[in-house]
Amino acid sequence: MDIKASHTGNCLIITISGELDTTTSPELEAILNNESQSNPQNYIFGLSEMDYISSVGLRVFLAYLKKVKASGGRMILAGLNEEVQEVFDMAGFASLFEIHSTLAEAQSAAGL
Amino acid sequence: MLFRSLLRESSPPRIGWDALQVLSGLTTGFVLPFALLAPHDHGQHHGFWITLAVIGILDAMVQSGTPYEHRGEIQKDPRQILRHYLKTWLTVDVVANLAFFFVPLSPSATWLQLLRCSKVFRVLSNWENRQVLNSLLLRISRYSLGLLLLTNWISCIWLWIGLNGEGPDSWIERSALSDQSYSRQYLMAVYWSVTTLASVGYGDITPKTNPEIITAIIVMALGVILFAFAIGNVVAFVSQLDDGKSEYRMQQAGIRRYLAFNGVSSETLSRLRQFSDFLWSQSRGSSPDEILSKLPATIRTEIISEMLQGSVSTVPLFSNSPASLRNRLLMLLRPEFFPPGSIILSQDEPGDEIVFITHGRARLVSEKEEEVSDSDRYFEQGDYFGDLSFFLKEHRNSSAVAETYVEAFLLNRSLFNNLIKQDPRLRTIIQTMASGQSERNQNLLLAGIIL
Repeated sequence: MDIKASHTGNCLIITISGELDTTTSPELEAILNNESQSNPQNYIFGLSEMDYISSVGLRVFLAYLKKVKASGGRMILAGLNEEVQEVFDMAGFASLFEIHSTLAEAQSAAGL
Repeated sequence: MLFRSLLRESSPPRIGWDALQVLSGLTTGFVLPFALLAPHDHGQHHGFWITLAVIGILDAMVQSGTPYEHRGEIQKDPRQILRHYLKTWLTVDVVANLAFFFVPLSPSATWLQLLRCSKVFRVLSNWENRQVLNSLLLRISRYSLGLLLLTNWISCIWLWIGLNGEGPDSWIERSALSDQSYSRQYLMAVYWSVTTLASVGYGDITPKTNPEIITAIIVMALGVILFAFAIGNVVAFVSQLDDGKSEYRMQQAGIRRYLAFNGVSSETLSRLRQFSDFLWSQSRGSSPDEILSKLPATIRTEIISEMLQGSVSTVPLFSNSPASLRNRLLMLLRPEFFPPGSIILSQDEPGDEIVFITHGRARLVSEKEEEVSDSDRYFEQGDYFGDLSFFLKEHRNSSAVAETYVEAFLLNRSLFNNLIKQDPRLRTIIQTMASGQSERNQNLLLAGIIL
């Protein structure tokens, strides 16, 4: 799995490629904890290269969603592949997140 | 509109109308002979009997338009209906209700109104066939009313003989009842017919004249036949009442003996008894699946859909589905019963089933259950679970246990995949349902619970 993080304005952009599962989720969590120290208001996740998400990976997203919402920010997911999108849709999580089909769309929605 | 609904035998207005005919028939059967024999009652209450005749004629009109069943087919052709009525009861109904027109020809014609009683038995028998009320109750009512009417008529014949007997030789004179009121004389006639029919025969009122002796012989013979008939029916009723239940009890006792012999604990046996009793109370020993499987698919779908009407309205999977998809789901999803304490979905197993509760209450059992609220921990009618592990394709780390008797539909993965392929609308329906459950799933997942 490969995770890249960058800051644009008050927005933290994270792109993930590979599988987000029990082994790789702690890495994402560590990166998020580290990068969020600068208190970005919004979070954008580019997930077009992410092939799979497990319950542990989902939990990281849900935990951050709570945190970001509490601080009045936005959490945007972009480019979910068909399989990942189905997990979000069928388990009811699609209604919790703001989801865009591409990273560019997500950035523009965040005003970048 | 009302007349049209009267033509449908199972419609509530028609059942009410038929009940009125039963009342009219019974009134005629019980009151008419009593009134006609009364010495000072000639010509009285004409209005009442004319009203009953008018109701009877209206009923004949309803009957002549009511479709009938012939070899399992409903015959709706008006000419066929009329011909059928003509061949069966039209003459009886017309004579019974137009008896007044024959009175100028013969005063005895007024007795023809008694034919109206036949309607009582036709209606009760029809209700029994259509199972409008408990069929056993209707059968008992039919026999009891028949017996009461017969007793009343025998009493009236006996009374008539007494009133028209030859002077001191009549039973009324011999029993010193000639000075008594008409009601008292009628009561004594009823007393005589009941004691004779029941083979009691106290001997305080005895036959002496030829008509009295002939009547007594007939009534005694009739009493013996009726007694045998009544005993036979009571035995049949009782055995019918308990037939299924005693068979069920014997079967259960056999199973319990076998399990106890093989070391099954008394606690488990008690749970088995409770669950078996619950299943019995639901199906009464009949096996609907067996009957339904022999029906054509369209009728089967219709019946299952109607049987599960309550479940359909409470489970969003069904209530949100269009009729064609709903029928397919009802036919294919597996219905299951779970007794209290039984595991519905077990932890450490692959998430390959989603459970839709139609009745009862289930509870989440997990090491981390304290971390979620009660509303997230309990699943009730209309709720569903198992979806998290199902869509994440993971093993469950928690179980769901029945708190009460739970009735549910189970959707497994292969069926889900087939259904989605056949009807993509199912995907949208589940998505809509899922958005209503997003908060619960979020809370469960954040607590590390996968069900």
